[in-house]
Amino acid sequence: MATDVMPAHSEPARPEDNYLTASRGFMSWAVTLDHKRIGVMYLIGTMTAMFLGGLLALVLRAEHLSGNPNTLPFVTHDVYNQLFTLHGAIMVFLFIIPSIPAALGNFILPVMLGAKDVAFPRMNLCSFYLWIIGAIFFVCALLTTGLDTGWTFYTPYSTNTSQTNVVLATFGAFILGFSSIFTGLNFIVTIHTMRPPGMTWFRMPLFLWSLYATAIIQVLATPVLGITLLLLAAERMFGLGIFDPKLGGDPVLYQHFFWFYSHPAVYIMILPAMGIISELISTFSRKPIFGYRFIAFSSMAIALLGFLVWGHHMFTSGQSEMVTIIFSVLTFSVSIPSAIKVFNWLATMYKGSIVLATPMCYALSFLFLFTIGGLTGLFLGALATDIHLHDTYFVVAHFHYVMMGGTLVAFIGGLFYWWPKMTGRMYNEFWGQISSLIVFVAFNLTFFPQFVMGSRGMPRRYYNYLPEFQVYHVLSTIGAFLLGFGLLLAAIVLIVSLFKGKKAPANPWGAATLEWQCTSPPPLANFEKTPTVGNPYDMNSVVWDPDTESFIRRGDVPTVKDEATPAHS
Amino acid sequence: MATAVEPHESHEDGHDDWHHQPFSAHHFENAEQQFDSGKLGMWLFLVTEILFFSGLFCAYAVYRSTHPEVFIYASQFLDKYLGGMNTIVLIFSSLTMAWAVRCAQLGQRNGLVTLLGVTLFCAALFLGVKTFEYTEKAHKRLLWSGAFVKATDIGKKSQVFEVGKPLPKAEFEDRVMASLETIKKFWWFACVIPLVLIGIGYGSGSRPWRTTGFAGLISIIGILAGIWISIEIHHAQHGGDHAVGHGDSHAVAEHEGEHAEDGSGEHGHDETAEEKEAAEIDAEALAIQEKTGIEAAEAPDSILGEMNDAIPAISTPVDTTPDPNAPRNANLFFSIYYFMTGLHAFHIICGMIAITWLMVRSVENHFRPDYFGPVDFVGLYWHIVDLIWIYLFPLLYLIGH
Ligand code: HEM
Ligand SMILES: [Cu+2]
Repeated sequence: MATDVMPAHSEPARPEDNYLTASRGFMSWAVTLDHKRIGVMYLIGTMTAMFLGGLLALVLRAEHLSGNPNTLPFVTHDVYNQLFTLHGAIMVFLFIIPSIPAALGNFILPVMLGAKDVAFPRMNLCSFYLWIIGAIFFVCALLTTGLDTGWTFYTPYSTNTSQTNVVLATFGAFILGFSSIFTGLNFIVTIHTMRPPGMTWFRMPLFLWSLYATAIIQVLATPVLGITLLLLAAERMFGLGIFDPKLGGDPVLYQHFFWFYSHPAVYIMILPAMGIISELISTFSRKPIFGYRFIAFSSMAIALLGFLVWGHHMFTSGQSEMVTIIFSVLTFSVSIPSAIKVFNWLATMYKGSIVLATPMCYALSFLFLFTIGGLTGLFLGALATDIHLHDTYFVVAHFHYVMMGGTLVAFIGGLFYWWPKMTGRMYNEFWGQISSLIVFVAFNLTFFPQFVMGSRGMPRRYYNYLPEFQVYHVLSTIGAFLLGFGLLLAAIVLIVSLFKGKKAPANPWGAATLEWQCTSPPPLANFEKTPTVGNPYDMNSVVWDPDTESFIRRGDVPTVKDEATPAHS
Repeated sequence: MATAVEPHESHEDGHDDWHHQPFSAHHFENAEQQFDSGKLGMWLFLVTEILFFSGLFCAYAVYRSTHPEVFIYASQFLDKYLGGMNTIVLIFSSLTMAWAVRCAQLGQRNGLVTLLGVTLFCAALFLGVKTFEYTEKAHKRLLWSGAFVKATDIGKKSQVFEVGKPLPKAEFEDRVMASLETIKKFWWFACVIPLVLIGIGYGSGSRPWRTTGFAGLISIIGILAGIWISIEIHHAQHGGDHAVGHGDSHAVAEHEGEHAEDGSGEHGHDETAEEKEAAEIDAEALAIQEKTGIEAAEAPDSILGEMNDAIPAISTPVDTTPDPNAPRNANLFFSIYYFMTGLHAFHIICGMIAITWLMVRSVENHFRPDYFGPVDFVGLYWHIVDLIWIYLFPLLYLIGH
């Protein structure tokens, strides 16, 4: 890491080169140190993981079309356990946690900051390969015995009972943890030391603030997961005894350790999404963001408070009443900064000239879905209701509203938003909007019924159900397939744009952040000369220029010539 | 980041030609930015290390507060003199490391290489002592909780290793013995590897190979020296009469083995099985005793031969009477002990690799007053590893003394 030294190479890149065309061949990608290429590789990787996890989810939902044991002949109760475990583990560890920071963040952070790269490019590449290795471990577990512990690996089931390859999966998660730590560490250092002159902390776009807050959680929380998983593996392999009551250990200690990481981890998932939304709402309302400092500081507040509430996952585990009450109170406090953000976004839109481009459609979906998810979190954080709702579909619906309705939707919004920058191509706006509409409707169809059946007592992770729940399950299954279709449509729109899309101008949306000052796609070194740093949300600083079909800086010689946009090949 | 390093500042003005210097990374503006980034990165890494260990300290705190008697009872089996010596060795190595950083800042190559070598030697010494401690404990069967429990009670089918499997006691000792025998037979291999490296280095005129070889040699000598010193310390304390201290230590394992089975609920017939087993063990132990007696006499290496002598388990008959004073679940202490010190030892090994790498680079004269970041960063890492031990030592060794 600290050894990121390499021979200086100062040959000037040819102006028509962008990061995609600067060099060719497999190796030029496999050993690249360019944050943009690493971001793109991460993007492909995480999307593959999501596709896999999504397929598993569809099988799960299909099984629930009826309450009979064998709706799908190959899904036995054992297979069912494996399906939901792998779905959860893949989605959490391989997709959601790395998706926004490592894929979009890697690409955008240095450009937005005005830096040439992240501070430790080799560590960045290493992080990607760790991700690959972790993924291989997961796939091995999947192909050998599967995994049936639930994504939470609760002891003593995972150590004493499960017949599957728990150790393999734990090591996979352990390695993925390091991948995540490397990304976080890199981002913190980059933001601290690589800001160009003029880029003060309070001129940083909010996406960077949110990545910074995320990185803090990644660095502080993930090592605890690492040690927990090591202990778990040692427990299972050698019978260490720390989590085994028979040997004097305590299985609830495992839960404490696990949630000490995993609650902050839910903020690893949502904070970057909130950052994206701040960018999207401001850009497409053509208004400066309302309450910049509040949003920035609320990210930090979430990062810190997030460490204090893990006990709300264990209200029924027999922890002392006093502790339970304290955790409940703290849980309520953590929702305050989230609410602050929502109000600020709404205030930003107020009297703005809202442009319903695809990213904005996703951002609006986010607002709606995340709000529901966050509010139902309060139901769960309240002691009396949680005793009833714990481990029911209500919890499932809650975390899907925040993780999928929040993070995934924001991720797709961000992907549409930065797609022209990343690929140099514009996608088809109409079909993009349609995809967002389908995703929004289908999402609610899938998960809203789960709130209802959960509150009526349908337990989560059950293979069968009573007839009275059938209608909700069927609705949910229909929604799930529709949702799958919506996401597929979004993917198709993006992929088609690679071949058919118009060439993207430098700044198609009229945003004022730095990444729009360089060409689309950016040149290898991001900026030929250090960019001018201004207020990131001053929408008046750019004007539409019909000649280049792009926004350009007002009264300014364009820093980057748009004609120079290279042909994408 | 405050860097507080003067040599560095004198360089600041010259950052025009910075990009032409050998170890400049292209995406940094100047050497200072590169150094600051590295340093901040290293500090963050240290934070993750601390949090990594914090889980274990937390587990320690929980069990120490819920089972204080276990900690007080079991920690008497740790040798505070060995632990104390290791503490001094590590503190001394931190001094030499800090001094090495200073040498790098001042551009004193020879001092740098020598001090790195001393640090490496101390690290190896530490590992040697730990090797002795682990081996001795394994012989006394002072192991983690699950080591004596039936395989069916802990991890199942897909276990990767079979360590958790209960070994009939005789077989258990046989195995420990066998592994020791293997080490005894092949320990010189470990010396051969660095010698070969040195050979390659001289043969091909490659300095990096040679340096790596020498570093390896230092490490191995250090480890052997560590083992030898611990044997001396051990002898000095027990005066050759091991049986006394040994008897009750044995009891923990026995006792625990039983308790674990009690807990599992399927016993009754186990009692007789155990007795039978015990009889078997005595016989086996005698046989082994004879075997090892011979082997130890003709052991090629005096150090490892002596190690056998110092470790009494095999040479004394197995005492199967449980210690009436042993608290329930006493082996939990050893679970924590092995995990914490094991993880720490792993960090020492990583540190040794890093120091070797520094030695190679400093022999190559890579470090100069305006470029010494890596030495500084590894130094920081070394201090944290040291610091963790400084907490581990009292927490594990000095309870109830
Ligand atoms: C607005 C603030 C939030 C509050 C007050 C909140 C509260 C809770 C509570 C109390 C539970 C435990 C329910 C139970 O098991 O009985 C829970 C579960 C969960 N929450 Fe949240 N939550 C919030 C936001 C989030 C966010 C933003 C995410 C992710 C992006 C998230 C992801 C999860 C997950 C994954 C679980 C279930 C874990 C499991 O048992 O498998 N939550 N939440
Ligand atoms: Cu939580």
